[in-house]
Parts: sequence; structure tokens; C-alpha cells
Amino acid sequence: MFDIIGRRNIYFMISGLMILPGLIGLAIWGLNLGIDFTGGSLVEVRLGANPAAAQVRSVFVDAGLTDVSVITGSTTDALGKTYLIRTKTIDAGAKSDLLAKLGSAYGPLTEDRFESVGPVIGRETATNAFLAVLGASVLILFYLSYAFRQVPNPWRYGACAVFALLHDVVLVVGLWSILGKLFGLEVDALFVTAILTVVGFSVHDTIVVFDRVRENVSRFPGELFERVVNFSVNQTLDRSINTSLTVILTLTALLLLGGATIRGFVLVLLVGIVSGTYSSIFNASCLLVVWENGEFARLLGRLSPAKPVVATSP
Amino acid sequence: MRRRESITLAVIILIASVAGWIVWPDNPGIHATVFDRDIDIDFRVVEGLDLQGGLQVLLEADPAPGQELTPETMNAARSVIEQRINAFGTTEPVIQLQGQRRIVVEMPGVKTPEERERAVKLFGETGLLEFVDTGSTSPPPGRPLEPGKYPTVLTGKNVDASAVSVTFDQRNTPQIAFGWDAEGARTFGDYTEKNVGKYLTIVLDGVVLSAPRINSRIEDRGVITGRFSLAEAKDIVTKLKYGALPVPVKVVQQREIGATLGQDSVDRSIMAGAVGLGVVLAYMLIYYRLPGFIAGLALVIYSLLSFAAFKNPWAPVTLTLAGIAGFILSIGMAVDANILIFERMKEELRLGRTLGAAIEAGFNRAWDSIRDSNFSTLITCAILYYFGSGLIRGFALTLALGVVVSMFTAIVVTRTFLRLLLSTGVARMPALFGVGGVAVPVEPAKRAPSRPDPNGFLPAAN
Repeated sequence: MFDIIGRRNIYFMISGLMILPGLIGLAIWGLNLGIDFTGGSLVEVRLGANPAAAQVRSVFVDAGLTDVSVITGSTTDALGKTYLIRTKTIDAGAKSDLLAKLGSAYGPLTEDRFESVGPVIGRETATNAFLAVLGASVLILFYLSYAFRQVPNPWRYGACAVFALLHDVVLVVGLWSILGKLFGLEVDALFVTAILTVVGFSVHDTIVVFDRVRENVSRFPGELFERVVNFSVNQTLDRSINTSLTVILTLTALLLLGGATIRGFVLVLLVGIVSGTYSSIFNASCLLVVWENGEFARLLGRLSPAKPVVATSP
Repeated sequence: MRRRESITLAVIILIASVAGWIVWPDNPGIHATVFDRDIDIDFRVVEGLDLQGGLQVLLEADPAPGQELTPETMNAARSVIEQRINAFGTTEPVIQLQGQRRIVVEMPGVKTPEERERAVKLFGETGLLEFVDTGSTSPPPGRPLEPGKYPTVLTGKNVDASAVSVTFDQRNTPQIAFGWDAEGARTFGDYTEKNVGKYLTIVLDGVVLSAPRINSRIEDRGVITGRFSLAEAKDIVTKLKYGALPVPVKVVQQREIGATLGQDSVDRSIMAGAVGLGVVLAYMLIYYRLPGFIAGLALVIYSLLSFAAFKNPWAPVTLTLAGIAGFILSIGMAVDANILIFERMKEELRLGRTLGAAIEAGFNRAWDSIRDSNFSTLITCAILYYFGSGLIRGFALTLALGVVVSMFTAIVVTRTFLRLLLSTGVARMPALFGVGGVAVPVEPAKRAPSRPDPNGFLPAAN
């Protein structure tokens, strides 16, 4: 049996260290937002003449568009190299004209994708994404507090679970900031879906641990809360790891073998679920103990000497 | 106990077989006549845009200043658009209201750029036809007519929708033949009689189509000539047939997705799913042995049931790439319920319970965790559905459906299999359950210890 609760400060530090690079990345680079959030237009074409990105860009700039970015895609096939062109929002007519010019200069041109998002929609999507994460957190908080109503301090369980999941969200978003800078991975609506799935998962995992705590709290009335939680975490360790492992296995299969279009999506899920497992085992339960023992308050110098709370029966 | 399990087993096999048949790709469906009622059920996978390729457009109502936007107006606009698109001929378009001012239009299979442009013009333009008295001026076609300068005599409202069609003149140029309704015929007749020699300009959405001169009184029929292509003429006929949009709309979001991107991804993702499933099954077998094998069976049944649920004829789930990922994810999660149960079982066995008691206790104890944790996933799915767009909703639905079905298979299917196994006396060896070394007692067990070991170690297997 492992002493997880006892070493909780180490684990808090590890969590902090994991989140830190992401936070720094967010502060410096922000997020590489896709057009789902910023608005704009995205055209994906293949050009037979394989021109350089700068040449493609000049066609658009000459037509009067200022904010143009061209990225050469990773695939090259018989129809030519792939180019991802991003501009401010243009309508379909303007797009056709521009593509006609591009095609005559560097064709033959195959149009693979055209997406155009008005700026208002972009802002709405961002707001909705934020509200969705917030809404999910609140609902889960309420639900857990209700499910654990027979235990002393039911709201703590909900709160600790939410803290754990926010840790996961921050971790993934921070990681994406770095990956966006290095590999150009974009934040789009699918990313938000993945985040919310991670939220659901992280809580799923945490609940199983808390469930055990609930059960053991009533089974061992005279025990130190700390000990009960530690025991519970150990009991559920096998199960937590196994469950996450099966999901991770399926996701890894998807990542390696699945289509390219959802690769980013699957990666978010993978990282998020690993993080979720970690946070359920090492963060959520430790937080419970810390709260119960009043260690935060002690840290802030308010309470006098530590009084470890004894688990009481309901 | 054995009898009940056998019946349940039979039911499970039946349901699984039906599901398997539904999932089978070239499913003929059910077509029969029962008691004078025709039953026509098809089981197909509804492919989302990102799988089929197609066009997705988000329209927003752009009312003229002073024009009020009511739900009736939006509904009317929606049905006009729907009728126009049906005339265009896409299979299974989706036209839905979104919020108070928006309409989502999805047209799968619309692939070439020309088709897309044509489609957007078709439903994005208001389609207001006006007959304008321009006196002695003949405005050139193709140019916008100065608004407000000339009086409008008649609009498309008085055109008899059933009498509009494309015809051809002697040189085989397409033109549009139309007829008036009673009121229109009267007004038109009076007007043409009084205004011989003047020009009557025909304007569509503010742009001049043609400006013929009135030569004599015309009663109830007319022809609009102009330089239309056949496609253009057809589209104008469609717009006239179903009327103008009650409120102008503008395109605020547009996505065009090529099918090739989709198909390749689909095939690979399905293969990845199969591999994932295989790996999970292998893992379960190795780690949990006999119960793992049973869980594997339950998983396969789960996959069949889940996928069959997607294909249900009343509310088929639109499958997107994200949806496939959600389904594959839910396979991994479906195992979770089984794992919860098995871990509980192992614990109970270690504490010395009989196999039968361990199974029952495993299920009962695990149910709380399963219920609570799956519920939180369902909550997230609900949020995703509420806040998300079509793509996200597909994912939420597949995941939610997967979770619900997985709960069913874990509780009913796995339990039935295990109970049956118990009654056949097959599973006595603890090794088959992954619990080390000790024979599984059949007699009642001893009491579970009442305190955790003071050193913090689990009670020894005993």
C-alpha cells in the first residue's frame, strides 16, 4: 500500500510543475485560435505547380487582402502540395475569383475545403465554450454535493472534484498554447468538445475514489480521516489505472491509425485523460484531506496548531 | 436462479442478433404491410457532412429597418428555404432554426464549387420579383435598378405558383413562363391596356432581368426572357414557385467540406476502432481472465447494440468523424463499469466470500459508483448538446448513447453471464478470476475485518 496522502505536498508540487510551462506559454503566446473563434476564412487547396507559400500569399495580397497567412500542408500527392490559406472573412464570390487567379497562375487547382466564419459567430463560439466549461463545472458540483449528501461536508467533495478537473483543463489548454506555437496546432470547436469530454472523464474517475471514501468513512468511524482517504485511494488504485488504461489504449489506437483530421482532437483527449487520472488519484483526494485538516488556513497563519480531524459517522 | 438467467440469456442473444442484423451494412430494412398499414423501415447510417462532404451554411436574418422579426417569420423563411433546396435535389438536406435569428442549412453531397455557389445563391437570396413601371426608360438587364424611383405595379405574390415553368424559345434559349392568379390577371390586364408603348421592367431582388415593351393588353400569361443559363432559369422558377423569403438573410458562416478528406479518415478511424477494441479485449483477458473473457463478450454485444441504436429509423444519429471518435471512446468507457464490478468481486473474494456472494456483492457495491460516474459524463454530454453546434451535438449524442447502453450491458449482460457461469459450476479456480492462489470456498465466508491494519496495509488474502 502506498502512502499517497502523506506525500501530498510532493504531488501538489508535481501538479504545479506540470501546469507551469503551460501557464507561461499562455501568458507569452496565448492560444493559437482557429477561425471558429476569431472569425475569418480558411481555404485549403492543392496546386499542381507546387509554388512556394510566399508566392501563393502574394496572389491574395495583390487582390487587396492584408491579413493573409499561408501554410503548406504536410501532404503532397499527385494533385500537388496542400496549402492552407487564412484570411479575414470573405464571401464565396470573392473566394472563387481569388481561386481562379491562383489556379491560372499555379494550377491545376483542387479545392478541398472552404470555411468562412463571420466575426460575430466567432465571438459567440468563444463565449459558448467558456460558458460550457463553467456550466459543466457548476452542474457537477451540485450533483456531487447531492450524491454525497449523507456524508459530513458534502460540498467539499464536489468542490475538490471541480478543482481537480480545472487542473486538467488548465493543463491541456496550457499545453495547447505551447503546441500551437511549436506545431501550429489550432484551437477550434472540436478542441472545446475534447475539453468537455475530459471534464466528464476526470470527474468520473474522481467520483469512484470519493465513493470509496464515503463508504469507508462510515465503515471506520473512529479513524483519522487522513488514513481513511489514503486507504480508499489505495483500494481504488487498481481500478482507476485499469479504466484509464483501457481508454488510453483505444485512444492511442485512434491516434496512430486513425484519420489525420481528428488527430489533434484525439491528442487532447489522450493528454486530458492521463491528466484526469492523475488528478483524481493524487489531487482530488489530497485536497479533501488538506481541507479537512485546515491546512490552508494554517498556512495562512490563521488557525493555531494542527488538529487532525477524526472521521465521524454520519 | 438458473431458469431466470437462462431466459435472460435467451433474450440477450435475441437482442444481440437483431442488433447484429441492423448493423449489417447492406441491410434490406423492413418493408411489409401489416393490417392494411405499410411499414417501411430503413436502417442506414446517416453520414454527417464531414464524412460525406458537402456544404454547411449559417444564415442570419437581416431584417429591413423597421421590420419586426417574429417566430412566424423565421418559420416561414425556413420552410421557403426548405422547399427551394428540395427542388435543388439534394439528398437529406438539413434545414433548422438556430436561436431566434438563424437558420442552419446543410447540404450533403454538394461538392463542386459551382454547385455550392449555385446553392448558396438559391437559398440565400430573397427572391422578390417585381414588375416595375419604368415609363419610357428601358434599363439594361443585369444592373441593379434604382430603388424607389419607379412605382411597382405587381410582385411575385400574384404569380400563380403552379403556372411557373421553364420554356424555350425558337433559338432554344431558356425563358420563364408564368401565369397570374385572378387578382394579378386583372391588375396586369388593366395596366397593360393603359400603358401600351411603355416599358415594364422585371426585377428580381433589385436586379433587372429584362425590360420588355408593352405592345398590347396581356391578360393572364407572360414570359420573362433574358440571358439565363438553364440552371439560372430553373432557380428563378424555384424562387417564384415557393415565394420570396419573408425576411432577407445573409450568410454568416460557410463551410465546404470535400468528401475525400472524410472517406479516408473514416476508413482509418474504423480500423483504429477495431484495433482498439481488440487490444482492450486482450487486456481484459490477461488481467481479469475468466471474467475478462465474459466482459469481452459483453463488450462486443455492447458495440453491436450501440451501433444499432445509431441506425434507429426514428431518430438516426448523424455520424460525424467526432462521433466515431466518441463511439470508440465509449467502448473504452464501457469497460469501466465491468472493471468496477470485477475489482469489487476480487475484493469480496479476497475477504473470503463465496463466489456467488462475491458476484452479487460486486454488482451491488459497484452500482453506486457506476451510476454516479456515468451520470457526470451524461451531464457533460447535455452541456455539449446545449451549447454546441451540429458537429459537437453529434459527438455528445454518440457518447451519451454509448454511456447509457454500456450501463445496460454491464449490469444486465455481464451479470447474467457470470451468474450462469456460477450455476454451471465451471468457475471454481480462483486463478481464473485473477485472485491468487487460494481455492474459492463455496461455503459461507467469515466476517470481514472491521478496521484497516494500523500499519496501513491491506488485509492479507486469506
